[in-house]
Amino acid sequence: MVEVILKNVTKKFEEVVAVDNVSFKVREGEILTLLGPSGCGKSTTLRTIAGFYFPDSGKIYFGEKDITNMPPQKRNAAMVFQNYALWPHMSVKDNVTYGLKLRKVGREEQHRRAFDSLKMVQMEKFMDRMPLKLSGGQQQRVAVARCLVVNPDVLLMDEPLSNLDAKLRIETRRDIRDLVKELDLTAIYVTHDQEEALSISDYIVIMDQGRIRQTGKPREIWEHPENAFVGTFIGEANLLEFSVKSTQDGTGLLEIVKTNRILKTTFIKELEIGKKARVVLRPDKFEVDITEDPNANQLPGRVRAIMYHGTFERLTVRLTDGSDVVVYRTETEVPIKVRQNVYLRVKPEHVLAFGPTAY
Amino acid sequence: MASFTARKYLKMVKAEFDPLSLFLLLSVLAFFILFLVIPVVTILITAFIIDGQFSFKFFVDVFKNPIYFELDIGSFIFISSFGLVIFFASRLVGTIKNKGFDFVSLLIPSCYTIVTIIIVLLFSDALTSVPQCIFGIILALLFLGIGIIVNKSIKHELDHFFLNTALKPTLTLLVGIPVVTFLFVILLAASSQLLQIYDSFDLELITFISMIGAIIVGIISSFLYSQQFSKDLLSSSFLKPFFWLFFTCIILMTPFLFSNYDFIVEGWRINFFNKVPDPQYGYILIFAGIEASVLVNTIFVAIATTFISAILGIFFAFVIARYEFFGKSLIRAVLLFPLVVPPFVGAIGIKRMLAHPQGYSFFNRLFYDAIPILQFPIILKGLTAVILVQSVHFYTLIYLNSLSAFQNIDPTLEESSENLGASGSKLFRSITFPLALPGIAAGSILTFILSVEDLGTPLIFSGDVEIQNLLTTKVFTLWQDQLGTLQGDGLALAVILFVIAMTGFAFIRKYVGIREYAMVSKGGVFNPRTRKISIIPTLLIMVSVVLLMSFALLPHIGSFFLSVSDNFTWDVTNSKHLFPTSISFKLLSPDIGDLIRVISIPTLWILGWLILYFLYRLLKNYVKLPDPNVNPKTAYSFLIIAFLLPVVISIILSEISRIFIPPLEPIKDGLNLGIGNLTTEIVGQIGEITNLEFLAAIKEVGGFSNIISRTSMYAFIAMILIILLGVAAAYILARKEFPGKFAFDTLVTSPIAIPGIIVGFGLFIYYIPALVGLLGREYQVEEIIPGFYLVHFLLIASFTVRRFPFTVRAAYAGLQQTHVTFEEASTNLGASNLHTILRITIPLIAISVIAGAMISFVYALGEVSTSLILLGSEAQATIPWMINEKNSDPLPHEGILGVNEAAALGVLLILLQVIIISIANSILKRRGSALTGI
Ligand SMILES: Nc1ncnc2c1ncn2[C@@H]1O[C@H](COP(=O)(O)OP(=O)(O)O)[C@@H](O)[C@H]1O
Ligand SMILES: [Mg+2]
Repeated sequence: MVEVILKNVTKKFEEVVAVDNVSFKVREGEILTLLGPSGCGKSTTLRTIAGFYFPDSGKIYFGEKDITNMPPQKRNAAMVFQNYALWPHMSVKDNVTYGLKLRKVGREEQHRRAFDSLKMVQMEKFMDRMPLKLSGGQQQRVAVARCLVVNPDVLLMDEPLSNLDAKLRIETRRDIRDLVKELDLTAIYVTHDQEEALSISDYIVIMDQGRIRQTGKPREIWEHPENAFVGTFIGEANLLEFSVKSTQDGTGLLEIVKTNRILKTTFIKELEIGKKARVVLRPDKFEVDITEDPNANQLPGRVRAIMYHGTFERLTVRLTDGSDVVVYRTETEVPIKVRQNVYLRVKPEHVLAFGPTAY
Repeated sequence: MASFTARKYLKMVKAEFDPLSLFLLLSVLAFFILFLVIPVVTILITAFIIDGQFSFKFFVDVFKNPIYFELDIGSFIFISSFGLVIFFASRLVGTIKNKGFDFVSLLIPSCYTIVTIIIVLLFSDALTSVPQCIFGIILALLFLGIGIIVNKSIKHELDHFFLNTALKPTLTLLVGIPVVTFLFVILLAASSQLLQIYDSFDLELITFISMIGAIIVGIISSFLYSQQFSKDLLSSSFLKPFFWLFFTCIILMTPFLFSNYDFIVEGWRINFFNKVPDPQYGYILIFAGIEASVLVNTIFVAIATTFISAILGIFFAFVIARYEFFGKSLIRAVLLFPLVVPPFVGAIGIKRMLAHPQGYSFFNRLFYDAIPILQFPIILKGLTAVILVQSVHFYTLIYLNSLSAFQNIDPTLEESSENLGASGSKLFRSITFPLALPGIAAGSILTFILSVEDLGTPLIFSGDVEIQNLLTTKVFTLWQDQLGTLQGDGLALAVILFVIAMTGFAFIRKYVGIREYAMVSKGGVFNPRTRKISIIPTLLIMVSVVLLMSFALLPHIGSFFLSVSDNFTWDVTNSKHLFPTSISFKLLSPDIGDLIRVISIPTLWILGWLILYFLYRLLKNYVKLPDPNVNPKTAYSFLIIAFLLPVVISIILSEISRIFIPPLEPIKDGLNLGIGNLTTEIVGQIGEITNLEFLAAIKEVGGFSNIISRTSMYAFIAMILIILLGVAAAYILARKEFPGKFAFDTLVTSPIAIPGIIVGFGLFIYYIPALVGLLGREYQVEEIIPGFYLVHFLLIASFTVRRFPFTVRAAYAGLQQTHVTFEEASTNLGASNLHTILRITIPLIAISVIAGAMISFVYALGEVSTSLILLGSEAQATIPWMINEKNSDPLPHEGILGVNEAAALGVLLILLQVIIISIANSILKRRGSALTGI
């Protein structure tokens, strides 16, 4: 268990800057998640930490130790690969003991430790199976066991759940978190699934196009996105473009383009008067009014589609400026029909407005 | 600046290469530099040096010598039509490969023009001195420059092409220039020849004039077309006039092609169908092909072979890839037969079946004597025989490459096209064929190269004059005449051979490059489209396949007959013996010892290999085909068996045959040895053979076993080297990125194209004097290792180099299908690179490597040209060397004619290779094209 620190790490592939000046710190025993859309450089960052790539500039530390140029063999940072990379020509047991043999562990201890770590992932019954005779979820568990058995300083996981079906994914991510916490490991986890990231991590780093867009605890990121990208990436969100009428002490007035509607907000980032702003509105933060209330923070529109989802109704509402907004409506006593005119009420603190520098 | 880039390069290499892979890279490089680059470059350089001075003299001599090269009108027309065909083919490729216009499609015709101009300038009588040659070259370079600039500008302009119609006339001109220049050269040459040779009007002249007229009409019409064509350059209307031109020429030439009339110019006799009076039969119909100068002959053979092979190969590939029918798996297996069997061996069989110089061929016995369908016996000889033999062997290259291509075409592409309404032949032309084209093109070019460099086949037929006039045979005879060196003409010819082959190779590289074998990782395996067809089409397909296949298998059938029969030359007057007299005779003969002796070698081999084959079938049934992913233990035991068994068995069998043919201890005279009447008769006939000589002869038969085990052993050593170096090379190619990787890949696959004759010379000339100097004595290290000569060392080196690409390709295919994360996971857990390679990488690709290595092994067994060049006596011989020796030996030994023994050895090679190749192919499956090494 060590602390992992990245300082200004940059990695280029010819012209493509896959990782651009990335710095973060993973504290001992903490699970940090790299989250971002596919192709944003998460895997490259992780593989740089594992030592498969060497950064073009910047430093990586495990604790005090500068490991920037250390070969991957020496890092003791075990990795769970997206495709698990279980060696198909070795049995489950041979896969798990591979690292122990390299560490010159005696035969009996090898067996004991392999058994223990397989037991941790409930796979001890499959010691003698060949990997290709296991299901995806079982393979995934063996891959985790193969890493745990060598007592790694850092556990690296690259989208370990992406090949599993939805239900299994939810179960397994809980198991992984429990296991990592139980063993008190420092772990870096990569995913493109924001829900997974929110539930598994102690700390999240959101990346886009090689750069970090925000770092923080899951709740911070959820409640206080620093920019429009993070705002839309986390959770389903509507992204609208308004112009900024005025700002004052953390509140602002926004004008819906080409209409005279004014929207008030108390969540503003870098707004500039007269310029455009991107506004993030979460679908669950709306109230649907049938009547107009000039004093309320309302957006007028017309219902285009209604989908029934069990616990809520999902409305698609076209605003007067022509953009569509998705709304979750949980309170459904007053029935609403398609093509009906509605007014979407939203509290000022739920209008997340970002100026051009915070896109 | 230079030091800066060098440092940058070094830094890059350092970042990519750990010490281990650097070591692997360097050892592969070192081996190739030592045993390929240096020897070959030595030859290339010495060809340009006379008395320490740089000179083109050798080349000028060659081109001025009418034996080697004659600029007669026949050759001109022939080469020109070749040029046109290439031009069309490349246009087709160009059109298909890019959505727009392909650079190469223009480069080829302009290069062609340039080459023609060089030839005309350099070697016509007007230009003889060195300054004039230099002038010619400068002129040619100028043309090349213009060609390149023209091409560049077209490429640049291309983007605007479809947008900006004003560019069209300009483009028309730019494209027109090389094409018109090219036609102009032909015209010029034609008319000059005409004026020189003909002073009076006659039939040929009229033909000529009409041909030239056709050319002019073609040019004019193409201009007319190009003036007004309103569609884009790629539309077929642009090509039409050229096609018409080409076909007009062909049609006009046809009457002369099919007459026994000396066609137009001395030295260019076209006698495809030559009816020759014969005292015995009245007439004999001779198919001989052409008889022209060395270079023209060579190119003629290569083109004809490529053409026939392409038709056979594409047909088979399409049928196999697309249809399900009864007996398909058998046909698939049989189709691969000729892949590794050197055409050299097949040539012996074909000679027996079709091309016996006196007309006593199996074919004539059957269809002239026994079932009198033919009005006269037919004799196949000269270049036609060579073309036939080569075609029925080399079609496999095109077959495998097209099959892989057809099977790897994503069916959704075809389906979507069908969805839009395309069907049948339209589908084939517009979708299937274009997509498969790179594979087909690569296979065809490979065929062209192998045909040019094939030494064995023409040697078998070398009684015919035409065949002595091929590049390889010429070089080989010069080498023999000059007692193991090459001077003057020989050197220049060798260099020309090299240049032709390497040009072909450059085109292969263009089409296939570092080939992507990783179909599976690109989104799962798709089902190749095969159709079940109804009974009548099935029958039709079966009939045509079987017919074509029996044609393709003629050589093997012939060799087989020849090998089990001691006397295949039946009596002409007593004409009803269809089958080898000896079989019926021997089977009835009470003298068992005689029987055994006569058929022992081939029979034992056949038995041995049948046993091996059934073992393999048995294993295959129980083990399934080993997939290391499923059950590694069985897979590995299977591998070891598949790997070692051929070698072990070949050695055991040769030992057994040695027992059956004892080296004659208790000798009184020949009769006491149980040698039957036949032998005595023959011995009696020859008369001069004394007992001692006779014994020596018998010993020689026993000596086959030495030769067999020697060949197997050296091929095996080479295979081990190939595995070590080949896996290293494939690993670097598949896992490392570095500037120069393309060059490295080219280097390690180039042996597929470098003529063996040149590798052989190079090694001999470069190393023998050096080694002898080093050891300070004659080049026999036999005293140290019995039976091992210095040349054997070079032989192993040549096997290794020449058969390297097969293993590299197969291993590379394996690596591409093995995800890198397997290796990374190992490194990640702390394994060193070496440990990872040994424990993870190699086991995972083992099966592919083994397949590749087996192919390398069998190819090495059948390696003809370097064997013939390097080895000097029976004490050093390999199987192919011995086949050649026996085949040209007219005297029977122990009742067996040399040619029978040659065929017996040949059958042995065939069986060995066929079995191994079917195993390798079933391992490689859809990556079967790796079998061809490209
Ligand atoms: N080995 C490589 N060579 C070249 N480019 C690469 C390589 N690996 C990744 N890239 C590029 O770097 C970028 C980031 O890739 P990656 O880290 O795999 O993204 P993620 O894992 O977030 O989906 C992408 O644009 C990708 O194309
Ligand atoms: Mg990734």
